[in-house]
Amino acid sequence: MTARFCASVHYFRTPVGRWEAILDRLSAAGIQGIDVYVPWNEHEREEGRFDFGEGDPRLDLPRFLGLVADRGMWILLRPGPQVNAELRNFGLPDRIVRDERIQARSPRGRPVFCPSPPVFFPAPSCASPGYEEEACRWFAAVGGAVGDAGQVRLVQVDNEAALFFREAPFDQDYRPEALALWKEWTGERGMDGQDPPIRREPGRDGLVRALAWIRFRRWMMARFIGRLREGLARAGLRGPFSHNMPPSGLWQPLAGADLAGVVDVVATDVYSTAAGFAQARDQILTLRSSEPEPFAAEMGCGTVWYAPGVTQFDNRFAAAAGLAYGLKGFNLYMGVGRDRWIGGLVAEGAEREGSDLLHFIQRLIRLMGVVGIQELEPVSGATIAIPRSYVDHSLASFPVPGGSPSLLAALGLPVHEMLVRDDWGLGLAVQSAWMERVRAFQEALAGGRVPYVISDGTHAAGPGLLLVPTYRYLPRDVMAKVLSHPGPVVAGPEDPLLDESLDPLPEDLVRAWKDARESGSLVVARDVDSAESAAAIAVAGRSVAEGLPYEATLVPPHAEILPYRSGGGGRWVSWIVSASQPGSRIALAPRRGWGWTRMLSIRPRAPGGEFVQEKGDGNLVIDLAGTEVHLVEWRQAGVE
Amino acid sequence: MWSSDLRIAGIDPAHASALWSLLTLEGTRVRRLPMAFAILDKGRPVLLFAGKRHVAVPAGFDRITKDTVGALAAALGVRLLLAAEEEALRDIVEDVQTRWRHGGDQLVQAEVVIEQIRVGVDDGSIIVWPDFFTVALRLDAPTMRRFLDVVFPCDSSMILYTFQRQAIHSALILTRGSRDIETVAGHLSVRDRVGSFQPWQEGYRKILEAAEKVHAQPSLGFFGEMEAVREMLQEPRPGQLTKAILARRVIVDPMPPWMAATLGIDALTRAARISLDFIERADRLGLGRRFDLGSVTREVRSRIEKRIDFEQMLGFDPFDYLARFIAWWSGRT
Repeated sequence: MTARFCASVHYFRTPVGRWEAILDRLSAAGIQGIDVYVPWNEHEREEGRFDFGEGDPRLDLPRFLGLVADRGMWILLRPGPQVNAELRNFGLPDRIVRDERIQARSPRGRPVFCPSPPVFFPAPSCASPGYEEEACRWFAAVGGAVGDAGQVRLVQVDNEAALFFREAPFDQDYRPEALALWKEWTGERGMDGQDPPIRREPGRDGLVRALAWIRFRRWMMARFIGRLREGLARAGLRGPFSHNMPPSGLWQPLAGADLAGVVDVVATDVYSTAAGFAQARDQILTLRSSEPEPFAAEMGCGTVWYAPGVTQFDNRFAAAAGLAYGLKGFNLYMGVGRDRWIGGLVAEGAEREGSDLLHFIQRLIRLMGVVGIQELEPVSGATIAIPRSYVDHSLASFPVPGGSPSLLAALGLPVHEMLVRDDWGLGLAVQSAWMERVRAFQEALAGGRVPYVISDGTHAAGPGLLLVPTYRYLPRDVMAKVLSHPGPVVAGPEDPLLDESLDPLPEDLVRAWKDARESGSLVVARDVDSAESAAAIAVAGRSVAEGLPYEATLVPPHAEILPYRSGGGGRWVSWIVSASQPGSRIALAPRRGWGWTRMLSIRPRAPGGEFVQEKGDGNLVIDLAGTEVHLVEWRQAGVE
Repeated sequence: MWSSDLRIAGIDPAHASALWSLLTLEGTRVRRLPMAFAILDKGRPVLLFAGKRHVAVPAGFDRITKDTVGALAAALGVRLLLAAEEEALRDIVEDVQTRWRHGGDQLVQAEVVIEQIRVGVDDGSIIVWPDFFTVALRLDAPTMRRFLDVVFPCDSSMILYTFQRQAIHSALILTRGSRDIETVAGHLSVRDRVGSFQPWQEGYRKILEAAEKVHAQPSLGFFGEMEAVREMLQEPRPGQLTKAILARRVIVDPMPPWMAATLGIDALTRAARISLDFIERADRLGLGRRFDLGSVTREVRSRIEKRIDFEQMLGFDPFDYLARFIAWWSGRT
């Protein structure tokens, strides 16, 4: 494993004369790589004619990559085709977004506008062959400019696939090529002859059609990303290839499983306040179930101009809490302040001074080296599986045309409270029930001090406890995974009888489910706090606690301890993330022969003083003042 | 209105978050505005969202109409309620997307949205409570353009600074070009030219000079103590700004005519009434000429006429609506 800490520098927005000073400053701070956005609309002078520095030195990509390489730094390359970057049209040329062959279409055949301030633009369609051809032509130009310059460690394909934040269930994509794909897709799945739904329809048939349409759109997005990847490879960009999920918590338009085999690395973006970090936590825990090296392709550093409420404390908290929940690295967005961005590691025009945030990140990276983040193995006692069909079910219940659940979620709004509560003939509003159940699982696990990960149910869960919300219907692949899980399973509140198409489940699966219940390996609990469920969580908690070098004697509500093992268990690291009330405290009693060192304490006060070196072999007691993060290392006595 | 190449730069993050706190009145006494929205299916609420939560429809409100919306708002304990037919929203989205042009005039695009909402309000598929908010639906693009031209003239800048213990608390400099707002900047954009500016009641002129050199000639400069500005935002009272200006807790320099007109509008109206009453009485006594109140009344009249200009321009009296808004915001309606 290799820890990865890099930072975004927009060369095209930065005076050429400052490039070297900025790179030197970042390198000196321990930043190992540079995230390089290559925006199409900046480089395309006219159709098919590109400037990579021949005309405008500000666009001299090869020179910039060379300067990065000269400093021994690696590159995360982002050639798009859309890069967002708070650019006009998310970096796409005007001629592209205006091209009717390329635009996504509404049910009535209208263009679909992406809500990007200050000027909305028509969203391209990921089913448009014209868009794909144009994008590949652009990739060829980028490939030529990049050549062998620099050490490209990762190539990101497109950006935050979310149908340009117009993914309300019936907003798009009804352009002819998308409808042709729909016909093909439904035909392959025995659903021939169906027109796509254009509004929410009542009853089970309505739900089946909506779920199929949303599943199809995920497939279409993933297909597009795969074809772009091929285009990048043809352009000579060797990869590995990645894609980044938007900062939308559980409201991801794509599941990690959709991208399995499409890209090599699935990353996530984290833009969060300290108070609202639960959403970012869920994203990171989800990433952990499928990615060996969870990576945040964008970790907010500074803030986008239309969300100025994010503070430097929020940035410091999010970076540390991201590592606490399992990130192995991140890209700091932004490394240098610039147009349409507030803040960054290096302030605009002040690369020699650095910022408080730069000094903090420098010390945080150094600390990650000291604790050996590469070797740290997260300890997890449970997996929460969230069947993707349930997320789709919630999306189908979003009743605001033109709205974007993923964008609203990214802005911290409670989208799960904005759903219609129809039961679609299932006797229960699954769309909101599963979310409440998952929250209850999370609270129960936190109360039982069981660290956990989140899975979409299609990846094999770890050996510990598996918790899965189940209702009248459950996708077949998830049911098969649940039944083959090697450890105990808490499901419920309902026994599944139907599959994701609301057809009866095969008898062998139903029988196996019944057998598992009878054998006791599967508990179907009506309530999460039922005796059986609580007992399973208590067992998982004891199993985790037994291996730890300390006993948690006092842990207030809303505080979590995330343990990591290293060196075969001879050394441990515990992150503590707390949103507890001021006046509460946490107490950890070391087991015999173990001592602790508190190394980091991030609290909501003026910067400075976070990096501490408090040692002891008695009880570790931390007074909590609110939203904060702490890092404690545990070593056996006499071991350095 | 906003340039598609809008440049946002030179903003100190601390100043930005301070401004955000000020505008959202974080941690102050102003309560969060309780509001609700409803999505309807032929009048029947399929979603009712209030206080950031999905809520059950109270008994007796199986259908939401213009006649019942006020009672529903009272039952929910909210002060603003928007209800819309899902199909009407779908129609609006479709119609807007039909008529929008990429890169087109944003005010024309806003007019398209307003027009579509107005149609919905008129046919009852969109319900806004209290209904005085629908006044904005009278606006069209030329009106908005004229309003913008008056409030923020072309080729000028607007400067807004707040100070706390003589240090900058928040800073914003907007620049409008020959058509659109082209730049949103902060103090970092002028810092080197300004240098030391304390006390700000004197040094604000250095900020104005620097802003003129770096950006454009200021058409409005608003400088104030953070506490004074917060009080105004927190508990707006008639004449408060005038009082703050007199106490030099706020300096407005340059003061554009529209701001002069809005300044202490209640006080001006009161002053006008008193002056006119006095002249009337003085005239009756044959003393009007002797007291020579003409200059006072001319000034007051001219200011009121500026107020009337706005009414003619917008098709409604913005100050009347502002007063109603303030009363509503303060919970007095």
